[in-house]
Amino acid sequence: MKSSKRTKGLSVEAVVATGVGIAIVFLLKRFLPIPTGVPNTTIDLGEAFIGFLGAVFGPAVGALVAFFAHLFNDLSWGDPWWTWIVADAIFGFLIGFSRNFLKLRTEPLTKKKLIQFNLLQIVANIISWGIIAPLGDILVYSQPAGKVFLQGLMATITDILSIGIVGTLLISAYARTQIQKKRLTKD
Amino acid sequence: MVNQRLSYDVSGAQKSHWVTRLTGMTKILVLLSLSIIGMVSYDTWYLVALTIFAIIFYQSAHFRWHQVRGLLYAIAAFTALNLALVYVFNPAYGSQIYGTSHVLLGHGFFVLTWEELFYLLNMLLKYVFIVPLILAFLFTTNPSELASGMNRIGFSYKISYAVELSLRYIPDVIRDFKQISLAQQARGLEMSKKAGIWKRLKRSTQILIPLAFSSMNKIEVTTRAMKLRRFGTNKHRTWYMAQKLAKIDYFVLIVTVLLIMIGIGLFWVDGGRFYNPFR
Repeated sequence: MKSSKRTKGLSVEAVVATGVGIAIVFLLKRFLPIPTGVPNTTIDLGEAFIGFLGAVFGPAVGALVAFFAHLFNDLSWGDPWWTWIVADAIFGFLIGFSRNFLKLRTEPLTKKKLIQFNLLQIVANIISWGIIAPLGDILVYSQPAGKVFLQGLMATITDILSIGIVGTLLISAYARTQIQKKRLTKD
Repeated sequence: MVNQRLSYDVSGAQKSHWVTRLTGMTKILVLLSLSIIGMVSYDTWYLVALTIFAIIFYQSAHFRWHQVRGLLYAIAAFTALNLALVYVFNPAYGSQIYGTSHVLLGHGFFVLTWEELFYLLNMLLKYVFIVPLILAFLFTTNPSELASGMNRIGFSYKISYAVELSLRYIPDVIRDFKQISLAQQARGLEMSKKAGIWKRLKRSTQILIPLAFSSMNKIEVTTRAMKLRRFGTNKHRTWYMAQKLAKIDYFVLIVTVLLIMIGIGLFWVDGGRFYNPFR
């Protein structure tokens, strides 16, 4: 982020973070869904990782990772479902704004910031899975409202759980290593 | 848990097939444009035509049944479940769309009309029409080709490069994941499939945290290496895998453009997105 001479666009770090991020999120989405007991509803750990990457690298990386990881996952099942792919990208973009107040790399993590992060993720989840994805399915794919809103609701709940538990843990674990590093250099 | 074999090398036996000779750019354009027009259109004959077009590509890739069997079963199950949900949530939806109601059997809420059946058929086509095309492209494209193709159709080279990077990293990440998972098992992490949802969440966190750290390391190292090679200093870059369009690319692209134009023209012919045989 702090290279002096760079042309506009993504920084080198953002490019690499996007690349590695897509690979990991794709892997988590494709091979590690956790069944909840409700049929066809799984907890998607990929979303937790998107939340983590967004919190560290910001909105652009969050959106790109979410978009391409979701696209690749859909392609690997043979069926890109564009409305949900776009909804995921919007989610990644929104959660990326948590970087601005979390400031994981420079300031210590407080309880208040974690609560803020979780409020943001709940709002972002409701916007993308509870509103944008179902509306897109109704407008673009002409699916019945009841079905898509139920699917959207399930996705909202499982993603809030996934990010609220796993995502929060990832962020606090990462923050601990950052602060230790800082102490070591300062003392 | 993760035993998918991933290899990007197009096997020698496949090289002679024409779908393998298409450039990455052609493949991306065909895939994107067809999947988007197929998403919008509800004209049954048009969707059937797209399906046939996709099957031509599939034929050319000469798959063995065992290569695609598992995936096709999964798609069939997923599609069946979705269609069942669409029907159960609003069995009268077909009649609402087509404006008429020809009862086939049953009565009350779950009455089955011809309109609903026709709507479900359209839905089914929308779910499956692109599958053969995607399978054919998935097994015949290598990441560098894909990146240079993406750049050529207008994605910034940084995004193209990130996508290529991700495809190259997938095998690495799978290996890391396996190692971490084995290490945690050696430390006594329970891995049984029967564990409850909270236990599974907890243990996946125990794998995810080391995975996050190792990937942050990887990001740092790779960033440094790429900065040393002055990545991102110029506005454009050239691609080792840049390919010239051949005759066959132009041919496929022209057919695709024609298909798209027909698809758009049909919106006028049908007076909307839906082809209505009941009127």
